[in-house]
Amino acid sequence: MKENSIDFILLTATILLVGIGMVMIYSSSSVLSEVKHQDSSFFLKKHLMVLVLGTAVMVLAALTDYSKLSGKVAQLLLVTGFILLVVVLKPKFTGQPQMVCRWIPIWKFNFQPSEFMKLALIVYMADSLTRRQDQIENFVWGFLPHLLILLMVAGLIIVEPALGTTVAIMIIITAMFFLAGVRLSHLGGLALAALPIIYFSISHVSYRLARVKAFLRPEENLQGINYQTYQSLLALGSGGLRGVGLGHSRQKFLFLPAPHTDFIYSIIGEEGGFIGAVVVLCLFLIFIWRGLRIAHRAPDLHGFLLASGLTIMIATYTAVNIGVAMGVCPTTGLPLPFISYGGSSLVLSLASTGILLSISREEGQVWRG
Amino acid sequence: MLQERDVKRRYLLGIAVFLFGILGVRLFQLQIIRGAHYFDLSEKNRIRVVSVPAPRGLIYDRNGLIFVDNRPSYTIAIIPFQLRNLGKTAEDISLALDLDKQNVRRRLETYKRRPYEKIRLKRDAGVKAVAIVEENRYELPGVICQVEPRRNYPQGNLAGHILGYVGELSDKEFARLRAKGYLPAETLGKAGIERQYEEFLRGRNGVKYLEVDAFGREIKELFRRGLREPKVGHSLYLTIDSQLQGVATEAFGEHQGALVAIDPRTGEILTMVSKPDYDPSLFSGVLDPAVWDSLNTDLRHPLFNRSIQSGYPPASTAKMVAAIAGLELELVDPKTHFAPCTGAFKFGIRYYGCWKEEGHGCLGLIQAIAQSCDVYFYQLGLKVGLEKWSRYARVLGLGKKTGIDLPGEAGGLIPSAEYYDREYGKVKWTKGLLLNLAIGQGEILVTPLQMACYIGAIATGKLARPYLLKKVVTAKGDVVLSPQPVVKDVKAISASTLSLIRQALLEAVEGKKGTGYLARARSFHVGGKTGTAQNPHGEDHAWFVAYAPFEEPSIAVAAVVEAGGHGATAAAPIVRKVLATYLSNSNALATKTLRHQD
Repeated sequence: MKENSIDFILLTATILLVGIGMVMIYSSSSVLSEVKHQDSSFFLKKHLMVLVLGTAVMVLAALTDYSKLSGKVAQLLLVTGFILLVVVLKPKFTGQPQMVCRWIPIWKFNFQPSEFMKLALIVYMADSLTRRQDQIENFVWGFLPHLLILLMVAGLIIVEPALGTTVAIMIIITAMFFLAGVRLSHLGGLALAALPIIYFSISHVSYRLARVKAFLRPEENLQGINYQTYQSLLALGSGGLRGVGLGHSRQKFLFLPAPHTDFIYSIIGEEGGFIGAVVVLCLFLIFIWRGLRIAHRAPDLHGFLLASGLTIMIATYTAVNIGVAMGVCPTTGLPLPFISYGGSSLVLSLASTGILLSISREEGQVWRG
Repeated sequence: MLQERDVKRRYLLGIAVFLFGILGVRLFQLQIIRGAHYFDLSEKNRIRVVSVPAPRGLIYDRNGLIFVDNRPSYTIAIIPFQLRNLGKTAEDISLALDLDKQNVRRRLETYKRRPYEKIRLKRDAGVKAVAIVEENRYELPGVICQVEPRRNYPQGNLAGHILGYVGELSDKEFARLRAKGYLPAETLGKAGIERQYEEFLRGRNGVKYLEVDAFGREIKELFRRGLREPKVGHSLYLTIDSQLQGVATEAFGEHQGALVAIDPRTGEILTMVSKPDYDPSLFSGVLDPAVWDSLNTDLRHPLFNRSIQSGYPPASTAKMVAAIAGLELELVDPKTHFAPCTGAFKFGIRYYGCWKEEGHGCLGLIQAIAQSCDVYFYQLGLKVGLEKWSRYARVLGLGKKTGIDLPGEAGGLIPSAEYYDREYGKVKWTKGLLLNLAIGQGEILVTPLQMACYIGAIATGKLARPYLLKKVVTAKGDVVLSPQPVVKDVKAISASTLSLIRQALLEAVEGKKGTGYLARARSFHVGGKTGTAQNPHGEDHAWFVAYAPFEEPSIAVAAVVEAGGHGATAAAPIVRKVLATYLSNSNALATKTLRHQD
């Protein structure tokens, strides 16, 4: 394998996105911070601390040979992910089945096992799908083991409850299956099997049903279930072409809930206008373009699957988060990669960039399977 | 293989570009096409129209002395929208401010439907309460302190029944009045003048535009939208003379009862006392239910304005009705003598007693009034008959509302044949009832206000409609309204009849044997009449009605002292004080009245 330089365009896009994130977290959360914590930079400070960690992880991953993310290491990551998912669900087994269990508090932060698992699963699948490449078209030996692992992960995350994350993971892994060469008929079967599960997990959980119904009737109940989306549209819409100016958002004055996490894109659109919003959209597109390019140029199938999976992950999260902010997706709590406040998401997104950069170092090599 | 991967990569990139393209299009639609629309909506989002309550107008007495004004006070209120935990905050705040927890909870729950409107928990909160709330801002989310004007009564209880009181708009009243621009829980006149002239006193609430956060908390005031200053309500000048009101109230001491003094020439009410009274400032906030209960269940009914709401039998003060009827119908003249008074009068199988057990002997009309001989009036009443008697009572303003500008006036009762037919059944009642009516006992009921107008009508020959509002002025002092007196000649009664009756009333006060001698004054002449009404519940009610100066009356007074005993001893001295005070202050006390000095 030949050593190349890393993909600077991807790195630049990442740095710009993280930078925009920092500025927008401060701008969007200052009011909320002041109200909740009497310190307008409360969230920014925590974000910066996480950013240091995330950068370290990214650099480490970039410097590490990605091919080490295979075999025992990949399995260890997957097992750790499972353990964390079970640990986070502990209250469910000890008599509080209604409790929402998505976070494990670590020091001042809340760690999100599902975010970790998302990455671990991609790493594992990339490795495992490569190893079983010769049997990939065989349903029992090639497809089924991977499917079972995916369903176990999905099952654990869906009871947290976190349907949005579950669906996102299903999409990412299914795409990886497709790229690995799983038969389309098997994938079609998976999709058909998933439909009733998703249907029931929506129709039997009242708040999800309400959210989906609200999504279908966006002009109703603006002070109730559609409040967030409505306020988000007000934020985006009132930005106009040039925006109201950095720091001048009005919607962040507690009108828009979670302005620094789930709805940070709305504040970007409000303060930066159409121009700002499109710039962010383009940065993500550049990231995806470079990510897929890295995948294409990866020296082996493992690198290809790993890079594709990570890129698809960033793309999926981005599209869903922005879609929610624009009212074209039902409300879910997916963060906007690199930008949203939220430690786990930032660290793992940066880790993904690191891995992508590591793969990009090996690019140029013509791999023939 | 490589080719396949390339195809798949392009495929994925295509999907990504397509999806992001949709997002881009949506972005364009939201921000460029509908941007203005959303901008407008977000403007509305953050701008809250806040009403600034207008201070109510002031109330003065006839000489410009203040009865009611406003002073700033702290109100502790809750904005329900900001409550995080209703139960907990209700508990905390009631503990901190020493309020009834259940009561607070109930208030908070009833107002849930209007989450942006503040609910006042404690008006006129002390410095300590304000300090507690300010120190615990974060433990008490949604609790605010603000300065509001509050009704203030520099003269204490004085004239409380006339002034009435203000209170918070109830839900029912709000439903009725919201069209007039009232806000929920706004202050509203609930009784007396405050209620009667709400329209003038209220003023107009101002409006200011505030930039607020999603919890309705003020960020800053926006001036560019323009604001409407609150307009202070108009001030009222009453016809009441507060000094006279004070003298009359004091003269009552601990007695219960009522006194009304009017200027009989115009109907202006100079004084209107009702005892016991109450402190109107108790009502100017959120009324403590315990205070309300104690006022409401007090057997002495302090909230009742006896001057206009209580009906009493007028007793002998009503004797002029029968006398006037007799003279007008030419059934008697001053020289007519009936069977002599021996202390009782036999009618049918019953004896009707005179108050003077040893009897008055044979009296003419003048002395019969002056000495208040019941036996004379039994006989006169029988001659006049029920129908004529009640007609003249009505001519003199009894048995119907006077039309005073206060809410809740009672009309009293002047029984007629129809009334008795209804009450007892046709032909089931006897003329014996008429004997009682002639001396002002039995079913007849009058209010002290009616009696003041009645004696005023006898004094002047004109029946005036009593009123309290002298003028309405704006805050700048421009007169908006000054009601004209409504005075009607009593055409049914001739001047000669009235002059005879007045002579009798003078005799009653100043004659040797007059019953009203305690009302005599040194510097002017008084015409008056005592009355002692039987009270089934205890001591007799004492009445006195009078006017002065005799020659050119400028004041007419009626007073009733509940369970006061004899009218001459209990009520006459009070009336004398009122007359003396008024006339010694009044310019009307001209030299000509002094000429009549003994």
